[in-house]
Amino acid sequence: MRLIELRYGFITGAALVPKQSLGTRGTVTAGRKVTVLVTTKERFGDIEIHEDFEFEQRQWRVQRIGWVVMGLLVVAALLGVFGTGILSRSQLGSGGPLEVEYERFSRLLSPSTLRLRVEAAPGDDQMVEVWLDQRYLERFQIERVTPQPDSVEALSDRLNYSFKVTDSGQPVEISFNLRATEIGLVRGQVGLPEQQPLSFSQFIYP
Amino acid sequence: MDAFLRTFFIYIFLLLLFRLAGKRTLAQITTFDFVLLLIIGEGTQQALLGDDFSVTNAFLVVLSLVFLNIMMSLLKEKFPRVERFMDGLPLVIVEDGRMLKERADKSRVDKADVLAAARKLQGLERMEQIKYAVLEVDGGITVIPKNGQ
Repeated sequence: MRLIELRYGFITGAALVPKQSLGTRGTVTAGRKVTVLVTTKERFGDIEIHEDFEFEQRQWRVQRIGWVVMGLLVVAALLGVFGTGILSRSQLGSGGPLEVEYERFSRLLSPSTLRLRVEAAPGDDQMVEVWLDQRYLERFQIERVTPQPDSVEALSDRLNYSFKVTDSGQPVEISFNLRATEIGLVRGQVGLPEQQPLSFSQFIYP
Repeated sequence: MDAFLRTFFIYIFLLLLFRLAGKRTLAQITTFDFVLLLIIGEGTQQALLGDDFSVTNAFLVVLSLVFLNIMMSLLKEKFPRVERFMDGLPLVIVEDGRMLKERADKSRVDKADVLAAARKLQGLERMEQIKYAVLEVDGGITVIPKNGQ
């Protein structure tokens, strides 16, 4: 009998060793043939292979967590955390003379709509005026404004849009089709002349 | 600059995603896996190119991808831990004709997969003719037949 120490599971000669790993000690009877199964860093049974079961187990755990995270991201996307969904749609100033409907989350270069609803009675000239702050609009491409504004006036920090209204008494709905051109948080202000403006902020994903 | 940044982020994202998805996700290319691969390509194409369809941009994107991959392989060469993190390690799933259940289940490999690999690679007929089967890092299964088969 001879005592051998197994470091990497290389057995020269015959060995009688329990099916164990790294550093196992065992007794060897010379001349007797025994199958030895050793899981180590460099060998599994007869094959020279670099496997690591503990690493594999850790990896499986991480993968499973990863799948859960993927699922959560899908749910978040469905709800609109990344734009267009119930968590994204947002409204301000309901019941007031000016209502704003906007997307809290939007994405770079993807279309989004800013909807305004003006309840104010038109003046003598049958015009309804709305202004938007210029810094906000600079971060978007304005694809279309419906209805077409009668005139757009540039003031120092805002753009004044005037719309001609013939059917008075009905609220006017104005939509701005926008496309974000910059990433990050955007703050916007919209208002009617001589009234408290409404402020809102949007987040633009890359 | 943004050509490289786009490529970089997409590269890292895909790397992490497919690492989390596991070796087997797109390894055994079935017809549907193949279709899925194509659609993934379509999905990332826009983000890679942005709205710049110039030849220069295409050059830059492809250049960045190849460069990133070369850098990554150098890194893997130098640091075995990085290689292990990125590619994983091979795993023995059949020993002496017997499925090692936990390993196989967790890696999403079943007996049918092993037998298919045994038929294809070694012309084997039954489980007991297999000495070892290994799930390799590329997601494929290699089979070592018993002696004398």
